[in-house]
Amino acid sequence: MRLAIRNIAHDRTRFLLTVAGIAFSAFLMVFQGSLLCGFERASSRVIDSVDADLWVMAHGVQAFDFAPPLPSDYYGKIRGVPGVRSVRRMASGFAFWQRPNGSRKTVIVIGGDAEIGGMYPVERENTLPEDALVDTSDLEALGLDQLPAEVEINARRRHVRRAVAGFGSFLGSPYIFGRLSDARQALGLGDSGAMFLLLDVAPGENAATVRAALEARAPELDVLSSREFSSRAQRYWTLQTGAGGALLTAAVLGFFVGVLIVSQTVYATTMERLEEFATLKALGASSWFIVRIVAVQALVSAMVGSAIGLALAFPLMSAARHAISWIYTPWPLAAALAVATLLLAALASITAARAAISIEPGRVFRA
Amino acid sequence: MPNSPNTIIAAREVSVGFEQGERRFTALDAVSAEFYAGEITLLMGASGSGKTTLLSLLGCLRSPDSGSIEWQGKSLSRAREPELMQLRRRQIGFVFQSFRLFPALNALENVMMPAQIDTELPATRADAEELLCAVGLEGKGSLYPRQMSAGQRQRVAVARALLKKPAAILADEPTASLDTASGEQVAELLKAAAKARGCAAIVATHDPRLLPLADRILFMRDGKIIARDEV
Repeated sequence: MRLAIRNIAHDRTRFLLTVAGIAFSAFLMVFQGSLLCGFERASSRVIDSVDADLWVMAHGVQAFDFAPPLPSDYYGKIRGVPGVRSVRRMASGFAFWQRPNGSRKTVIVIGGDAEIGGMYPVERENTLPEDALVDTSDLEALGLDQLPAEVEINARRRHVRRAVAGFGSFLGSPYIFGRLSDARQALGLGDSGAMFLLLDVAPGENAATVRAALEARAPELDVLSSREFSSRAQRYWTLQTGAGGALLTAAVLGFFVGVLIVSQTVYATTMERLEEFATLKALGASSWFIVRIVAVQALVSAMVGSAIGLALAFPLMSAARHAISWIYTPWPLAAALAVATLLLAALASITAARAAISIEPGRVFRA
Repeated sequence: MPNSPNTIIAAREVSVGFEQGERRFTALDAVSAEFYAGEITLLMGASGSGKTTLLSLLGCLRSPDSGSIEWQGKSLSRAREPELMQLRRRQIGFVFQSFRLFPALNALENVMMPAQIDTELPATRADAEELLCAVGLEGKGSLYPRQMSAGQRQRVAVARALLKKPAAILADEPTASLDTASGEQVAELLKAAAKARGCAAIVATHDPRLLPLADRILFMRDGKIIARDEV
């Protein structure tokens, strides 16, 4: 395959253009995919951070951010279901945050019982009454130049002593974490209100059996596993809201634009060498000989292009994280898109090779 | 018509037509000719007379609409593309008006290309270097086509055609892009290929400088051979 490699080395401008096209495609696909993955992850971030076997909530709740309060007697009802080891309560809802300069911003206040567990950022030992925790990426939006700071949430004084990471706002309304009692107070829920009940199943008990018992005890509520609630929230935000739909559409379009650029670039590169392929056929080259040349050129370009595209994507996304804190690239996405780029290049090279091998060798006699 | 023992290629009543819109043009009209080992045959005639089409048939680059091509006594009427490809690969050397060298390869690598295509070809790097010497390009093997004159490039093309020790060399206007001196050099190389190596050299040309080299001349017009001149 000397000719394939030498062609690449010889026509560096063409190679660089090919690689640039493929690198841009890889970058575009990874960036758009990261926006979608980040949006999905952010839309279920609180749910995923909690360590609970089952979530109980009002019927039809689609996402963590929009849940009505449960009547207070459910707490006792649910605790009494056989197989339930523990029940914790969580309250959340929209409130007004008053910045130190007096202006207001809508936020989502979240409060839970002690020991929610998992990655949930509030722990009893380091969160005092009237403490409010905010995400680092939301400090500026909340008007906080420095910590600690004194603020007001729905006219209640709160202390912001520290910030947490990984719970950046994707709705435009930052999450404000604190104790359950503080959230209830801010949201006007009284002493026993909660939007969610988080259950742990007792050791040795079957979660499905416990769930069935819960559904029998309170058929007017939804009982979901953490994974189910997370998926429901992601589906809601991605498929039923304008923002999610736009991101999904952009990701799909980004993928197809990438497909087209890779295909077109590889195809055009092959077409430019049609006369060489005609000469090879006249000299007695087999179709397989020509296909290998086309494929090697396409795959080398695709490998270099996708490597550059991915290498550029990560630092650029890191920079973009200042503006879009929730953008997220799972490594399987990057790996899958790198493989997809190679497959696309291979596919495009097959299409291009068909043109190359079907060329009439007799054209070699045309000057 | 029986073959002479020296016949490498024979055309038997070959015809080729082209559709152009609703009209049909006859490029070759029942042409018959034989081409012998060790001889140079010139195909002469005006543009559109059918020289290049005949060369394409003789080089197994296309098939006639009727009639047949015979290679060393064997009809190719029923031959499929793999068999024609083998003939091109092993038996035929091509020289083109526009050289058709590979710009990414140097002269030596261009000459070696038939051995890349046919890995069973018993040709070595030393053979390629020897051929470059024979065409007057000793020490120029590392030059790329863009670094060579037109005459040098055509001599590389001749060396490439000779590497496989072909039974026939088919040349299409091999001197048309060359100055007088280069044209004469290439003509001498083709003559040497025919005489010293025993090839049947078939040259489509307008160039009168090639006339003294020819053993036979076939004059073509409107797809027919209108005159045959034994020199």
